[in-house]
Amino acid sequence: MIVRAVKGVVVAACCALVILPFLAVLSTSLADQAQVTATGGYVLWPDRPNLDAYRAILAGGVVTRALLVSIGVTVAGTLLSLTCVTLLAYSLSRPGSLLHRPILLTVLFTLLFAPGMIPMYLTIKQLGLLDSYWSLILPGLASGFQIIIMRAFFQEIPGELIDAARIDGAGELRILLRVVLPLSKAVIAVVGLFSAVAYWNAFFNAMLYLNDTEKWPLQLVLRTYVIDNSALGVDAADLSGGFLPPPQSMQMAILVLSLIPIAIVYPFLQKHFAKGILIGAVKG
Amino acid sequence: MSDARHSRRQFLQLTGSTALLAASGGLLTACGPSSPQAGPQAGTRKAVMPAYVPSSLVKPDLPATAEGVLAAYYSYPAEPVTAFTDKPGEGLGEVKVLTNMFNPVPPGAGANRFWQELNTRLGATLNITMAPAADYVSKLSTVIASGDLPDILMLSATLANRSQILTRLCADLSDLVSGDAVKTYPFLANIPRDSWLATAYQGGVYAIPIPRAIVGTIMFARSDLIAERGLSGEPKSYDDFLALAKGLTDPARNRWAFGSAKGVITYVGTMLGVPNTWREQGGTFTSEHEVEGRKEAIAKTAEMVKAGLFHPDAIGGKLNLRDLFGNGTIALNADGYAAWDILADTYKVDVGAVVSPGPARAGQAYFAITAFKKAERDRLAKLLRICDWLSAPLGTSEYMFRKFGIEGTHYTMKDGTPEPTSLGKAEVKLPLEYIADAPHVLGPRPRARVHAQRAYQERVVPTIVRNPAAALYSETAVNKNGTLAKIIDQAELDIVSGRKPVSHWDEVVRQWRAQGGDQIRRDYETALAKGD
Repeated sequence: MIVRAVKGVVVAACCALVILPFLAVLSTSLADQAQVTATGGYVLWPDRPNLDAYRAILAGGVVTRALLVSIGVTVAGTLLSLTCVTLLAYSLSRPGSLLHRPILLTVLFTLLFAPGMIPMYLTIKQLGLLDSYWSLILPGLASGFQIIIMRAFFQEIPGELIDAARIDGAGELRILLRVVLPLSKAVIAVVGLFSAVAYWNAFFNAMLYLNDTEKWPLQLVLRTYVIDNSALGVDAADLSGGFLPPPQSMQMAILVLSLIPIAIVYPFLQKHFAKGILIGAVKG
Repeated sequence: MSDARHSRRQFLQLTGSTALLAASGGLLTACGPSSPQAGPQAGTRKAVMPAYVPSSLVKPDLPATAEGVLAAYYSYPAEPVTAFTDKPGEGLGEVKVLTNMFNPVPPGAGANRFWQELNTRLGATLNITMAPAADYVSKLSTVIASGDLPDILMLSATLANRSQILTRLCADLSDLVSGDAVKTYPFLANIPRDSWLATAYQGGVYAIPIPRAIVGTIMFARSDLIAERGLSGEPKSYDDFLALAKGLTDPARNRWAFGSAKGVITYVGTMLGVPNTWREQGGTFTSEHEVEGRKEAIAKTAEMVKAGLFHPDAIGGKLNLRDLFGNGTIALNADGYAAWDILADTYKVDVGAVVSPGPARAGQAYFAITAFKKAERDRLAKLLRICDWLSAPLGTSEYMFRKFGIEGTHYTMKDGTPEPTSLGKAEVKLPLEYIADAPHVLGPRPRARVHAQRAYQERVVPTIVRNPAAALYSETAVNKNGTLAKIIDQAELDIVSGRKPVSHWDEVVRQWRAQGGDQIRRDYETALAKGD
């Protein structure tokens, strides 16, 4: 009995550790300024809950528009990325494919040496992609990391299966689509999730490549609300002209808004996520 | 994945400045001689700073002084004056602008009536590219490296290779603004001399400043708490200040004097004769870090931390100091001068300032500088007129429009004060004040507060200690600022927290000197000797 009670307390404590921060974020987003001031920043339970912070954020249509941009970029980017990564990983998983070794080395090279900010910008500019949604999608289309994970998975598929399909007259594309992909749902889910999270969270590339604020994705718009004031020291406070940062309730409302989509998708993909990660981790 | 992206970004930030140097170096070579010293008539002429002609268009309740005390208003002038009868940018077509922003992003021009009306009033299409202030240097670096400069661009004080970028890539404005020429732009002439100091490079004036007050950082106090405890908010010595801090601390009631050590070290330093960043004597520069008073100020702050006068999370913690000041958890907080109204308006508490027994330390009199892409003289003159329009002071209809939008649409006047409508709150967020702006003023706010602010400035500004290097340029100071500040900040934190003894400071100063401090000194001494 005592053991059960202790277990219960420990479980409750662990749950509280996870739930309390979320509750604080949600409650603060619903609290009024007076209560936030009185508690020094975070509120555990709003005395007079209101939706003012959410109304302020959603006014003017900027956030709504950015949300649509983010969804568009994430969906299109993830689909294109999955297509590219799958095709490249599959070809690299089959021994003897055309230019197998040089292409594999090129992929590995990108894992070791990332392009600098300015070369990337100049490339995007030369390609005429500035102020285009493609500047958000194309640079991260074929991630070396994802290719390696998927390639490792494909290599584990028995060669006999593929040989059998070939004997039955299937070409490479048919083998990929009909034999390999149906067996690879877990790795597709995990790579897709990686891509989607990366596209969803990206803001820095949008800041560099998109001058038109109407094309900004959600994360960059939200960043303008939760800009890191702590980075501005005392001296910077007079320089900035006494701008008033958005109140804490608004910053927490932003957090809630940005959490919702990933929180909705994650539970459905989580089982694949863990499985896929393990596959990538132990096979190489 | 997100970790990988994060580290990649950090890497990019680290390599960014080097890459910019390389990239802009290539561009610079294309634009002129490759030697970095061979700027336009380097060393052969001295920049003639623009004349200071205070604008008399609007009469403030209390006028600005030549020393740098801000003008003050008790209320918004009932009838705003219209300063411009024409459209300053007529005929310019599209004007590309790059600047930073602190506000949330406003709706784009297509869906923003304020922006559309702005373009109509200017007679030009202002195409503003804005980046969050925290990311602005990255954005600016890439734009400069690409060589595709906008017509008007704000240059941060921390931008690497600022001098070269200005003198090689940007327009020399000397003909248009030096000396009396600036009178063509009456509101740029209305910007005090202190703010212009950072715009002169290699004998020319290459930018206009976004002005800030000379008064800088203030030690704000909760006057109500001081009165409640029967203390004196006017220390005559360090001991008085210590007594004030002790009197305001009451851990049992969750009350402490301070919430952050950095501002206290600087403040105590003013009582001990620590120079404002540098001291210049006979052409020789001494850093604030090298004087004995600085070490003593750190030691005294460490003693105050030990005595429990600081909030328990003050050292190494990340506190929301304004909220803690507002709810009375901390009673003294060093903050920018502009925070006075923010603190009083947001928290509805009695805010005062504690005047240091020593001379106050001047702030940086500009936020950043605004430069222009090389262009025909006529185009430059019109771009400057746009900036002049953007600098029209309080009391003009241009100012009211810039800050509040269209009356009836974006704001309504209530008891003589503009009240933004919900549309105003959403749309009037364009970062125009980070392109060009009028000098700040005190108020319009309740008379008692304006008087308190004005009295503080009148008391400290006449004896304020300016940074003698404010008008000088050091490449090392700009490029190594982050590294050097980190060395100092970490050491201060180690000492005040008790992790390291005060004697550790000597070693830190040696490190600071070796890693760039001495080079900055040499840069300043050379620049002063050359008269740059």
